[in-house]
Amino acid sequence: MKRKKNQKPEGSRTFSQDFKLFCRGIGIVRRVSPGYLTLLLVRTFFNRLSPFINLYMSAFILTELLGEGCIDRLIKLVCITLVLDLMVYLIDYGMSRYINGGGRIFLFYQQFGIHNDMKMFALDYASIEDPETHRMFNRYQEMFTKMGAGLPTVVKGVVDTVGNLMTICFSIGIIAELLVLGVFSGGYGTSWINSIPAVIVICVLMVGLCVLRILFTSSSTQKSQQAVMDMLPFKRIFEFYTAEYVGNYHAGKDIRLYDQQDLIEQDMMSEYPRMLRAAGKMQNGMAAQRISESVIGGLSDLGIYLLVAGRAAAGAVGIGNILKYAQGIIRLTNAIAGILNTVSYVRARNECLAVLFEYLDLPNKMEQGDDKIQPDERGGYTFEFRNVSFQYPNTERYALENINLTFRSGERMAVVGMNGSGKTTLIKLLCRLYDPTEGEILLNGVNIRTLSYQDYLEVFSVVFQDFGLFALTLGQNVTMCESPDANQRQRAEECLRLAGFGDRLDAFPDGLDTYLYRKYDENGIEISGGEAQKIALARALYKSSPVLILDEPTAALDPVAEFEIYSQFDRIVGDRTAIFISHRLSSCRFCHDIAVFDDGHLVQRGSHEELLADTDGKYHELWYAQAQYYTEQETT
Amino acid sequence: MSQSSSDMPNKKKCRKKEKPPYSLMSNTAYTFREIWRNKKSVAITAILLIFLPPVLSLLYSLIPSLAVSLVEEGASDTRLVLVLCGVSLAAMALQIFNTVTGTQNEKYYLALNYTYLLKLNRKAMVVDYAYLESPHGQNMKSLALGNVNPNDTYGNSNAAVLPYRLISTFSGLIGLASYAAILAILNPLLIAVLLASSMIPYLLNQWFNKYCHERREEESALTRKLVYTTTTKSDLRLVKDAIFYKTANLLLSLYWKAVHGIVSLRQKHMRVGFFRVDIVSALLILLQNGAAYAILIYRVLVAGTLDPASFVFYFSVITGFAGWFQRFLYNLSAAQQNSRQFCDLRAYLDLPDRYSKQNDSAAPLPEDTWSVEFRDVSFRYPVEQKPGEETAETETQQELAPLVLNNVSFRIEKGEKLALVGLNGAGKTTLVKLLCGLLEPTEGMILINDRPLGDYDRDAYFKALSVVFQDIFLLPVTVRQNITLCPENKVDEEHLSWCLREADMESWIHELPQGLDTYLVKSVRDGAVDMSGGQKQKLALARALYKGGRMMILDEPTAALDPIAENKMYLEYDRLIGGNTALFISHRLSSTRFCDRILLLENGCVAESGTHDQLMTQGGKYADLFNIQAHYYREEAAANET
Repeated sequence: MKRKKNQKPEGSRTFSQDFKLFCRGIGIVRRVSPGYLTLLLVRTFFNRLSPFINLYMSAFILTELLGEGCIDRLIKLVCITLVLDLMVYLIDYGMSRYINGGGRIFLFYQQFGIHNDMKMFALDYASIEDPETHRMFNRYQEMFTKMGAGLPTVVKGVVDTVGNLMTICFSIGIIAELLVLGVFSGGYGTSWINSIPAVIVICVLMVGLCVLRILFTSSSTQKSQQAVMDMLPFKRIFEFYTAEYVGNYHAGKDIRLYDQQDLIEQDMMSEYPRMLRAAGKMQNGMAAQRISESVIGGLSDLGIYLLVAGRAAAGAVGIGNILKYAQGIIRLTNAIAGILNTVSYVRARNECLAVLFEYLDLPNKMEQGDDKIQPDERGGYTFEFRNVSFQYPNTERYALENINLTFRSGERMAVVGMNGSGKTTLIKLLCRLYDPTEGEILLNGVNIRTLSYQDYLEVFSVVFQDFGLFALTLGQNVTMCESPDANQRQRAEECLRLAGFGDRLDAFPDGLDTYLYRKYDENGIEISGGEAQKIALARALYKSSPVLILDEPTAALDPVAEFEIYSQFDRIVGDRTAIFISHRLSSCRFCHDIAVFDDGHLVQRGSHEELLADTDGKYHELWYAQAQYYTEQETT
Repeated sequence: MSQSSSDMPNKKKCRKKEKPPYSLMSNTAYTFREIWRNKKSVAITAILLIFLPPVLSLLYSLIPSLAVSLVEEGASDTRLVLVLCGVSLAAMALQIFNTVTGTQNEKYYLALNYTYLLKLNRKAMVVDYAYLESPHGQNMKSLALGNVNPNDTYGNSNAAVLPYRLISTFSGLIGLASYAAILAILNPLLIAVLLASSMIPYLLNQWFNKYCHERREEESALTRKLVYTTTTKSDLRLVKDAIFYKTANLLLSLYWKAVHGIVSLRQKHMRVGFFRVDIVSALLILLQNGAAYAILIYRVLVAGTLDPASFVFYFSVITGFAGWFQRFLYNLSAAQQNSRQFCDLRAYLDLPDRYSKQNDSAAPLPEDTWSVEFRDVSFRYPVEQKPGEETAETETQQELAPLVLNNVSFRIEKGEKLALVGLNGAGKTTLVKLLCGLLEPTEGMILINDRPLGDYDRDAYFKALSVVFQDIFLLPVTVRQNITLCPENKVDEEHLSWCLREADMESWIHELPQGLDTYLVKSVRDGAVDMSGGQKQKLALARALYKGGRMMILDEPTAALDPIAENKMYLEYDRLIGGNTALFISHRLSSTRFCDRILLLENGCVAESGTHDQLMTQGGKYADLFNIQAHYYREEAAANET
């Protein structure tokens, strides 16, 4: 046992650690879905009670039949049995209908799903982007979706354990009489099966069998849980192909033209033999468990029947009660074994909880001050980068190195450079998605770390390169309100027109209430990448923050649409401070000020004319790489 | 084929949805054929598995009544022990056999499940691209896939467990028959009561399922909203937007609306289910047990023909009867459902291919460089029939989808490098798909070396093209395999390193932890890496170069590259292509200067064609577009010169 624990890390928790995890799980279940556990337990009570009613009552009926056989009394007994049965059935049916059909389970799953999401909303960006966080959450998600581990296991653990405890109480209640009467009355020794040694031997054997069964079950539970884990790598690969590669018809072009079928099939099935082996192991484990249940369980049932029948033959207990006692003892032992089985089941799956809690306990690394943001005397915002360097977590390379830079209120600045030169990183630091590794960023002379984070975010409207729109209505996308009022709608419309979306808006059947895409509402309208970019721009304008940041805002636009945006640029930006990231240098022409980045350094800064004059500079190189195709025209 | 399809709509109309395309028998035959081919032992033991459960359960009901009867008749200890042990051990032995065989079979069902999934994937990889792309084809595929979900092993939605369901149905039937036979000895009337008390709840449940099914539209609209908000609120790609635009509140509020909408709908159904199904079922159980008690007590006391031991035995048979009945009906309807799901699976697997593939009579591909001609090519996407709509009417007066390409004619000479330009939505990408043979023209034809494309073997044609598509997909295999797309031992390392150099990927690969052996796609394998847009584009180029086809097609290959990388590619374009025929597609007009000729596509038509200089002098649409783009650069140049 001990050796095995050392082999696999997830088995290495002690019982008390597992117990703590489990208790915390119970706490979360109770918090996110109040009343759910109680409801399940009440149902379990009736569920567990129901077989005992019949055992108890039918023993009365049988005794009466064997004894006096009074019809009146029999009818009364049968009626009581039937009415009790009916009540328990109705309660059980009603409650399970409410829990399953009535959406109570569904609600529970939603409630704790949201609980995990809330953590994500609260995390800072650096932690969200951290691959370690992804790895952690994906591991949890995988165990949760593919094994049903996590909180559902906690619920099952509680319900099973408490249910078995109830069964233990009921069965002790039912066999209490046997324990008192059966053992001490009726006498022993009249025949060998009824001799004290035989009874003792049977009892000892039964206890032994019970222990054996528990050991067997818990080890095979652990083995089969391990096997479930071993099946995951295959499922991950197979499902990726099925859902995202072969399942994506866009990739179908590559599959056909590059003859990828065999390669895909081969890679898809690369872990298949291992998965089948693991599945085989799991099935074998389950079979072994079932066999042990039937052999050990069968033997102990046999022992119980012999014991009870023996006592009955000796006259210690009535014949009519044989079934009741035998079944009572069988249920008692089953329940004891069940509890221990649940313990090993829960412990084998506790890894999922451990990962979940690790995720929920992730600290927020970002310092968050609470100072209010103070605009300068003219209501402006000036940002200053002072010796800022930055490395992405877990990387060696500096994405930005020793940057000194000032943005003044109302200016238009362009940030240009090649892919990977640090342009986007600069923006991420400015917006405080990350904090600099070295140096500091000041807003009107105050370190931004000391400012209230939520207030600070309000300063920026950003259109990221990989922005996302929602499949909600156009109005909701721009205003982010569920039902914008007349005022908000009017402003949304103005922003859309300003962003160049006016013509398209007029053509929309329901105006601002038209749904985009068809994922949410099936009457939605499909829009192109260029249109999406305009809507994203409108959303940024709607936010009316003092600083507007546009990351490659025209990448998805064709030249005509691009030209439209460029020529409107001054009007669009208004009196905001605007920062503009692009590798299309034609866009720099609107900016007073251009910062050129290369390999994490700020290499040049100035107006277009100044930068172009430096013929050895990076800007000159970038500019002519593009411009040559257009300027040659002049000479021809 | 054409005949049957012409009178299909009428037939479909009168028995729409009623008749599945493959019967339960046919699907049973299909699945057992599959099993017989792969593992005969499973098919043989299946028969044993039908009989074992009823026998076992009879044995188990016998034990308590034996105990009662032996004690009652005052049997000797030895006899008591021997009889009880004998019966128990026999039951145990059978149980072990049943479990072992059952487990062997279950192991195989998992493999069978993956056999079907693999078949589906294989089909999706070779089916005509037009099917794959069409909403109808996608729908068929997702239906088929949803029906062999391996995570839902014994749920109702896995057609692969059809054999298991059939076995359970038959063993339910046998159990039912044997229990009924036993009860017939007691009182045939009891069988009638039992049948009624089992049948009525079953019918009620059927009715209730139908009731819910008819109302599923209400829920499916909500489910759609739920699924969307659920996935979107936790979509990590949208985190930045969520931070700056506080999107979470909106999404959460819509999410809870959908959740509560679904819950209240379900609660409405729940009430109906409880009052019309559950209460009746509970009352029927009351009736059943009451009748059982009455008959048994009557027999024991009044008629005096039943001993208490038999009372115990019969009572367990009576309670067991309902179980068998449910097992039979449940598995029967599950088998029918599996069979219907099987139909979806087979419908997709049996999709016919229209294109000639691996056709022996096909013309051999020309050995020299190719010329390409589009002759009056028009293309429109076929209109989809919405499910549920009457097909007969819509087919005749169907609205046609708009033409994506309208009467396009042009020719690319051998070894010519053509640039195709046009605004978004002009039909460029559709043209590429047609040229690649992924789609077929609605009208007109495409000729390669003056011979229709359809004459050539499709797969061979695919092999001869090097294409860089706009959207790039990475396989979760090593970088090397992503580029070469062949087994490790067949990689031409020298050619590969040339391609890497040409595609400017060397420095990136140098930084990778395991170089060329680094795996891609982080979400699939531990230690894998993801690529940026620019790198992906370079990889796609390297892949096309490695393939070294006879014709090169590049669809916006520089969109994600920075100006210097872009320029570098333009400068080396000639060398990359060699003497091959090539098509370069872009909306950036600068890229067209190094091509021999330019074709301007506008609203699905060829608007202009000629060299850059010709088109500029022509002063048409191309010149307009060029001037718009050149605007900023030229102003500068002018300023510089002065």
